[in-house]
Amino acid sequence: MRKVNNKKTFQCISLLLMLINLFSDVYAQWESDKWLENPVSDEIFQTYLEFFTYDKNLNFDLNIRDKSVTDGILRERITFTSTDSMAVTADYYKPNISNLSEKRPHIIVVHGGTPRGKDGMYNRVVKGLIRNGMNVLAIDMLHFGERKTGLITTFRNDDKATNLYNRKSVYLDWVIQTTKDVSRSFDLLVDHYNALPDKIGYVGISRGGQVGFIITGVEKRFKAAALLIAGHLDALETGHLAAACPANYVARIYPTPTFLLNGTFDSDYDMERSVKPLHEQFNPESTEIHWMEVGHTITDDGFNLMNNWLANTLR
Amino acid sequence: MNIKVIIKEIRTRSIWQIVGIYLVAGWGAFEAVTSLTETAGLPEWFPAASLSLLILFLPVVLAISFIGTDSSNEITASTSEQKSIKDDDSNKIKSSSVNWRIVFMIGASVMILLTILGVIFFPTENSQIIQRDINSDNNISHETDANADIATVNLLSNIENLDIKYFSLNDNLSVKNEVTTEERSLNLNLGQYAFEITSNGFNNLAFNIDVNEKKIYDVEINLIESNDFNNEMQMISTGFLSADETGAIIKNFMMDKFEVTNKDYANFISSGGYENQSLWNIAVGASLYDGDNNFISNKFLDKTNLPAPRNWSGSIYPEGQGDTPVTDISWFEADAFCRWQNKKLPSSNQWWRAALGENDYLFPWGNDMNNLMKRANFESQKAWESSDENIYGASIFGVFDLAGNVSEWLDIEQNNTSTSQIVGGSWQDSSYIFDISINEYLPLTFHSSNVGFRCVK
Repeated sequence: MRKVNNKKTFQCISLLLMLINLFSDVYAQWESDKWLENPVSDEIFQTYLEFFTYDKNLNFDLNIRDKSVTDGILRERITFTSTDSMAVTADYYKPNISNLSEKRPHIIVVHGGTPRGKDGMYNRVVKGLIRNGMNVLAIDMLHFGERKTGLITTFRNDDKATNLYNRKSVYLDWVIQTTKDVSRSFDLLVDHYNALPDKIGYVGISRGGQVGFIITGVEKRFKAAALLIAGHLDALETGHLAAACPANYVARIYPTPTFLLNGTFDSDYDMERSVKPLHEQFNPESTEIHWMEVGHTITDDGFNLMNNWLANTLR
Repeated sequence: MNIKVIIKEIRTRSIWQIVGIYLVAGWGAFEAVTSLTETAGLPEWFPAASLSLLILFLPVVLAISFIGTDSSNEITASTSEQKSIKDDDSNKIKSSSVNWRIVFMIGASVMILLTILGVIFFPTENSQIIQRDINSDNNISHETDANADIATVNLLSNIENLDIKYFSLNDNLSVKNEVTTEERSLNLNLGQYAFEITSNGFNNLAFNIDVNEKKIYDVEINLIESNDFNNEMQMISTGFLSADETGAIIKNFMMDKFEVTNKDYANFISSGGYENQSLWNIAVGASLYDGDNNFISNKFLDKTNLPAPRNWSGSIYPEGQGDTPVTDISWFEADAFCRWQNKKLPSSNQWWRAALGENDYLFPWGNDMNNLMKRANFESQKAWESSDENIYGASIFGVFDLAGNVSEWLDIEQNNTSTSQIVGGSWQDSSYIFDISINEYLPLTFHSSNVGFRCVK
């Protein structure tokens, strides 16, 4: 009698486990979407915040590798220590004049999934911010730009999805590291570049916007956040862990003033599936939402809107 | 032996349990391996290899358990009432414990084998990642000495008199060597090359080739006779797309070498292009503009309400931008222009064939990502002029600026649609937008400063 029961038990368990395995991707997607409806509780969120703690006393080991002037803009190519054994490559930009006001706002710029990393931000983002009265620190995210590691090689969307975005624990580690890098960038601006802490904003584009939802939900010192052409999941993402889900952070960005800009025809961050449901989670009191009839791109008009908003908000 | 006996034997020998246990344990092991692969960065093939091993071992486990189980004890017990129940139980336990041992031994063997495989391969991959530190891409150099690997590039053409010039390029695209030759079969060191091929009476052909393997590269040189109709076009030979798994053949066609410029488009306007209704897709347009058959003269107006692209004034293009691609035009205007030239907008397959040929390259010039900004116009402030000088971005068929500069309208796939695809990415975009798997569809009425077009015939 016992033998028969064992057999049935084995069969049932096998079948159940195989079904779970079969539907795990569907489950992952559903699991990620569920946080759009019901973000995690404050109690759980507090445990997430522990992931992002870092050693504030660690020496920056700031290394100014090069200085150059182009278009009247001074660029310092720098490297600094973010966390133990993790060096961040970045560019600090400001107008090349001697009597620059110390009250100028500072912006930390985080790029999208481009192989050039921060360097891809110069023409379209950095110049506009500088011309609108802000200094800029543009950083490379880990695995991009000067911080390439070989994890991503072609930088095609499928490469990034396979090797980073859809590897849930690897992606969470990366989100945590990027958040720490940005917090350390904030510290660096205050300690070494005399930035006023109440005049520092965040600009994140595409992936820099998606991880920016999390960064600005954790790092409450920012006085403005502009998160452009980003959403809950990109077209190839199949899901993420709760601690790496923007839906669990965006409501907590409040009261930081937030500027959101998206394209109605964006094929990477789909308007209906990925963006609008996330927008609903933001606190409307502190959030300004703009839609432009474009794809996964930002027009000059879009950047002008953002620059004006940042200049006014950080005035 | 009939089927009933076999089933009875299988039941008697506890094969079902062993299969069940093996599958559950195997599934558990596979999940562990998958998880480890993700967290520890093990090679991508590791889970597949593990699964293969687990499947391979299944018949071995079955065979061993079938042979290794002595069913006579149980049969004897069931037929002889002289044996005590206690003895029977002890025999079963002994018999199944043999099976358990076998299963566990095989399971352990599989895990040991997997571990050995992981240990052998994991450090190799990991060390590769560690070795690539900051700026490591700049340190990758192609060997050019006498002992370097040599590839053969065959230039295949029916034209007798070809002037062949090629440039061997350094990693930063500076010219290492410039060679003029009449040879059609060239032995070249591995590396990046740009070719310029000319012949009297034919359009010039400039293209890039990424000679990255020690093999024979056959390059078809299809020059087009130079005349008013084919000026600034290149021949795209018959072939397929490596990304198209169906292997569908794309028939040869000609494609504009450059994106259509403002100057080209001004000729279309001055020749009465906006008035000639036969050039326009009236049926689709009227349906999108609520039955308005005059949508051409009502909707496609410049800043001064004259028929022209939206960023023009007085039906004149912006000053100094004659040679930059025309933009701020709808799909209808692009389509009408091509018809005016007895051409059409390219299909998706045609466009990608012209860009990548049969190669699985990242970009039209190959896989070089270190000189993106020299080869293509991404992440900048405006479109650049169409010019023969941008040779390092040309595709194997000699078509320029397919990656970046302006995104390009493709032909509609069916008539009852309101959208069409744009491809290639633009000066506004990051380079990863140049990807055959990205399908960005925009309304046919859409216009933007980063969307233009080119034609085929």
